[in-house]
Amino acid sequence: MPVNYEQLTRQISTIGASLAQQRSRVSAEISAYFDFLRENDGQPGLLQTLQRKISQLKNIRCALPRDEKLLETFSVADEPLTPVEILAADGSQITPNRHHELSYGLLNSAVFRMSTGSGIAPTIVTETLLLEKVTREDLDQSVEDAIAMQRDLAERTLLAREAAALNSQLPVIALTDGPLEPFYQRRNSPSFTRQLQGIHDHFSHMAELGIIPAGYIDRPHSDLLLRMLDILRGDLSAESIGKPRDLPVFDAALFEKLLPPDHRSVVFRLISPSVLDMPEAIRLSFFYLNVGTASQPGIVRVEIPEYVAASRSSLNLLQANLLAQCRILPSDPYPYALHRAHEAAVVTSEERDRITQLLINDHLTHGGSNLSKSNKQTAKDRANTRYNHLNS
Amino acid sequence: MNSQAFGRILSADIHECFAACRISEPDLPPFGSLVRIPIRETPRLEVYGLVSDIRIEEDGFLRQIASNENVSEEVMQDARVNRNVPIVMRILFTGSISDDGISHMVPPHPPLTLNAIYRCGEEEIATFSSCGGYGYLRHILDARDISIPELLAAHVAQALIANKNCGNPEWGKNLLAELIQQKRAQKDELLRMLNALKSLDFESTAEAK
Repeated sequence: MPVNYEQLTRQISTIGASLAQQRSRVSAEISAYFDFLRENDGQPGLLQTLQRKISQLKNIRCALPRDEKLLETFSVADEPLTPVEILAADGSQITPNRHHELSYGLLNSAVFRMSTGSGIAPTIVTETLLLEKVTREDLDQSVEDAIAMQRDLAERTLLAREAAALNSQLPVIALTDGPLEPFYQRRNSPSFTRQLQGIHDHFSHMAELGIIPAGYIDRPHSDLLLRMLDILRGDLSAESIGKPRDLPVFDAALFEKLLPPDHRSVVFRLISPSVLDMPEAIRLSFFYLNVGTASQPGIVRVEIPEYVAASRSSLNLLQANLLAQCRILPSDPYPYALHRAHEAAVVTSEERDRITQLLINDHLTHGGSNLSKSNKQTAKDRANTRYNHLNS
Repeated sequence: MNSQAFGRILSADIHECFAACRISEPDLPPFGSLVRIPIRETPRLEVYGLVSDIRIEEDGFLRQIASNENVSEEVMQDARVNRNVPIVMRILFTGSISDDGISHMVPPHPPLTLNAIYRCGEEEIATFSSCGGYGYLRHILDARDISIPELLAAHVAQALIANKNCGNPEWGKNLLAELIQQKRAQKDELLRMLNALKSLDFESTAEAK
């Protein structure tokens, strides 16, 4: 049966009206935040007040400015674009599926390396790891969560290794798609701690080598600054921490008003329980950057470790190169190197089928019996419906 | 005899095939080149064909980059060397070679997917084009959806040089006579072909390497 369009049409109409109403409420809320931000910009003692209030809140995730200036913006238009080594990492995975002939996992990590201004073709390194089974920390941890953590670790290990192996005289920028902050449900197991420690060690190693790591978050849905403003104006209670907002208001909407094209915001410290676990030198900060145009702002969030946040020259270099990377794809600004890393890392459904076939062939060579998909999967494949894409 | 393969078959029928090769391939055969596709060793069967079209495929990503005013050399090199965007060649079959020798008939069966393709050298071009009384010309003259005069001219330009260098200086003049004989009833077509061939040197017997 197709979708019930009669029901759907009525719902679309209702949701449309509700969204229109919501838009005006969001706009009013953002304006109120903006006014409050302007009132508090540069206020003496702002930082101390915030630090005191934040210290009283447990498990809070929010921004903390490095000084009292909140509204300042920074351009690198006058800075010459000097050659750098840009590395970008991405990873993808096959999650085990009991409905397939063989249930296996796979991690594929790729690092794309580009020497800007060299005229030399970039290079790509990929690493693939076949997982007979995915080890979960406990019964509460989903297989998807477990494999995502292993993928992140594999991706960052490859990035750190390739960055360290460069031995270049040029500055090195190491990009990942998404936050640098490890986003996992915290667990008290030796294996989880070891994996998290592995990620921290890679950052520490990059810090020793002076490499500039950055996590690039496109279309960010974070409200770190808004939460900070909530704390400042006393609107955030201990009970509301970690709960979603009634309205979808994000920092990005605030910075669309604030940041001219190519400008970045001030750098904020990222206050989060997972960041507090990190060694001080690599604790995370972030800034917002407008990679769009005056008519179509493109606000992105960039996470950096403390040693980059503390260096104005590293910040300028990172900002200039992120903008240069985005200009390679002018109609949809996104760092070219990250897009290419994604292209190299992604495991397509055709590749997954080929890998499955190779495994089946090997299984049969070793005297295994015939394998088949589950009856449910077979029925879906035969029906050749959209379920193939949704559930396979 | 087999140099480096420059591409592999994507699809084929009894008259022609499509092949993909990497953009960075240094030894890409130009339009009109004679190429050879080995099908099997025993009994020997290899198909001959002419490169009758060359397409450079694109995707939406390249379109975005192309719209940029300044494309850096690294990005261009990345597109040419690393990205899997192939050149697709159309190859018109003109004959085959077996243990019995060269035939100008269509091959007994088409090559298989991913069969490798090799560019023919001068000696092979001269041998193929000079045997069998220009029988292979009919495949060019009867081809569909192809600019026949341009393909003919591109092939003849290469075959003229190969035949002259291999001691067959009369090949060009004999080809013209054969062409006029075959197309004498279709004067317009013949004139278009002769027009396409008029810039070629059918007289010189000097080596043109």
